[in-house]
Amino acid sequence: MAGRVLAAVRLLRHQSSRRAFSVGESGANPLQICVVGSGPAGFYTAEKLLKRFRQAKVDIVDRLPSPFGLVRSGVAPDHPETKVVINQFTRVANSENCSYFGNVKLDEDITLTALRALYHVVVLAYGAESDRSLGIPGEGLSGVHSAREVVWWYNGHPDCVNLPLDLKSTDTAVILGQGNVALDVARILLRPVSELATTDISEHAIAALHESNIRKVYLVGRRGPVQAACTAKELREILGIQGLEVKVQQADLATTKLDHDEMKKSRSHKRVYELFCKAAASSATSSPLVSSVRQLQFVFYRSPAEILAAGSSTVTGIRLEKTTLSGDERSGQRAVGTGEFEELECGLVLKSIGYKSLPVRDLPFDHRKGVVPNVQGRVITSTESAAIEPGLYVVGWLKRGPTGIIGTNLICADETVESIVEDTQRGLIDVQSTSMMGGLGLKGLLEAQSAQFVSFKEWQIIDQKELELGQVKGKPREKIVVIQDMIKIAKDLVL
Amino acid sequence: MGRSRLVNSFQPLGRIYSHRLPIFSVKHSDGWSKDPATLAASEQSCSISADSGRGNVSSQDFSAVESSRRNYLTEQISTRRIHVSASTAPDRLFYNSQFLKHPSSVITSLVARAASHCEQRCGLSTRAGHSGDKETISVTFVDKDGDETTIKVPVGMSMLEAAHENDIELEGACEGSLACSTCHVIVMDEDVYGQLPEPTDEENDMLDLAFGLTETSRLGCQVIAQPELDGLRLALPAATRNFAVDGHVPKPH
Repeated sequence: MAGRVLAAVRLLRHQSSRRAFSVGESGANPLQICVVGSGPAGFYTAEKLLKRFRQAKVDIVDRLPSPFGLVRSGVAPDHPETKVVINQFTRVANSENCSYFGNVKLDEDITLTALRALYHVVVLAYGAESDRSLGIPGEGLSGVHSAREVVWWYNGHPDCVNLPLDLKSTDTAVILGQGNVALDVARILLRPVSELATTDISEHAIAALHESNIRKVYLVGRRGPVQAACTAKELREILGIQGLEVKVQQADLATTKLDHDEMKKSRSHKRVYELFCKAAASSATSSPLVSSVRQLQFVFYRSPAEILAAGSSTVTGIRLEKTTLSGDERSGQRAVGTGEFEELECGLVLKSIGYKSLPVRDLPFDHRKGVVPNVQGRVITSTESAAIEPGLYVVGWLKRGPTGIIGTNLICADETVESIVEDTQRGLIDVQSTSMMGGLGLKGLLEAQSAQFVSFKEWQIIDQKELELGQVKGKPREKIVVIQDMIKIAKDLVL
Repeated sequence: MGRSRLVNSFQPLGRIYSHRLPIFSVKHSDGWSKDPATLAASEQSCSISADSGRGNVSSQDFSAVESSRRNYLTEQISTRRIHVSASTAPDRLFYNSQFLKHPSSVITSLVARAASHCEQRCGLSTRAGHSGDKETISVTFVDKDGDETTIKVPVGMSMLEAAHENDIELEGACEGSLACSTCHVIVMDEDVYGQLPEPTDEENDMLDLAFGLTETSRLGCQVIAQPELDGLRLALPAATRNFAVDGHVPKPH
């Protein structure tokens, strides 16, 4: 099938090859760019490309009908102000030289090779949709999920609508990791449900949370409060939730000289540590736990050793090894096991230890780091050879690894776009070749396969429907969680 | 301190008064204040007042001249926040003003800014009692290449809004809601930095994450034009390189 597709593309190109145009700023033969992934990385890159190349056509492709990546499916429902950037991305998508192709998936609907035959420049911005693994026994037990899946579940991502998340059989959950994603999940599990009911949280999640028996959540980190990956805003927020008792042990707050050096270098870590101190102080003075109050406990210096099942196939607890910090100023402080173990009883274990990118066909991939090997956003065939793949670039988590906030992608996009600008100026992008088919070619290929893609206007129809459905329930929107339903609404077909 | 939970709703007010004076209204869901703010208006003056919900009323009286141009304030409420937008057309929002957390300061500050916006937009004179005040101040933005742009900013407007109104490339992903750090600016004069009101915890939380943070960094959406800031110079942070602009070397944090 791929052979037929490539042959078709070659025929189309041959037919227009009689006229050789110089590419770049010629209106007759514009630079054709495809950005794969419509999250912050993709959209910031598209916006900057449209500014730098005024005649270029930029097509943004996403495997879901809905755009915006983690802004839609990652940001927590009770953080609506973090989603405001969607307004900016919407303006980009609606701009004249930009087109959106939703519901188009690499490898399933089109290969990277076929895309590179249609566009002068392909920028991969498809992020990280898998998880790092713990590598400990019991990881595959029922009752163990990744935080990424739970976030997608409550945010209505079509892939996780049917996540078998059991919040009824246990009152205790253990979350491994103390980053902002871990705090988000803890907060959604422990926040009074009435506060969530007026957000854009998905319907199935609210229903499950109404019936949830989860009353206690542990947030477990291998190192100490100075190394915790969460940031002040999220920690401050969780400390201020009504009816939630937050426990931090005073003993865990002891610091070393290296800790102080780390805090001097990072005011974020310093301010987070200060918040933990405040939390420990109020922990100490609070009255004994009333059974109806929900509880969040930060556990430091514990590394997961084994997830326990006590004879059944579902989680009954977790075995943790006590750790101590070792290292110097150069290497940084790492957690080292002490050989002492303890167990926590729980019925739910969520791992929040980092995302991981997925490879696609014909794409160089560094499986150890989980990223595409690149130099300033230019894809290279491997870290050893450093031979550049012409016209192929990466941006965002696929380039840097899964860290940072929405705004981190601004700088990342700047770097990748600068590389593209330099490469076009130096003639490294095949500007002397025939004009590329770009979006016309992509449409042709997809239609030949009867693949249904969703345009931005069609997304706006879905968007409008979600807003209407939400208004009835007093929510900002009610997300449509089945891809086929989205397509039917977009194309005005009978549901 | 206790945070209020505000209704997540949008309440466009439209043109309620035939003499088209600015209207300001605040509404809460948890029993704070179910009554919209009262507007006391006469032909010669416009008084904007708001009920902070705890029985206190903060108000500011302004003299206003009737304007034949349509204008009104609409208010946008989302959880834990209040936006106030001023517009000269009934169906268009010009811009949002900043998020503020604390009720009484919200009211006072928003009212002051709304009045200032009305001045700017509708030619209403709302400061008849303060003839010495400037209506606008001069602000210079210096970009990462050292290029300078000097603009006039009405008192009460944030630097983020001013930048956008003048096509200065300052990002504002969350549009002033203290949920990002993309409008990070560097105050080039240390003394002036010291004159600004201290950043709140919420602003500091966002500054923690700003790229290229310095000791005189602020969020552009939280720096509000006041007469004493006339001549303010703000540097846009360099994305990937260190820079020294006019000899000013920002101290890394």
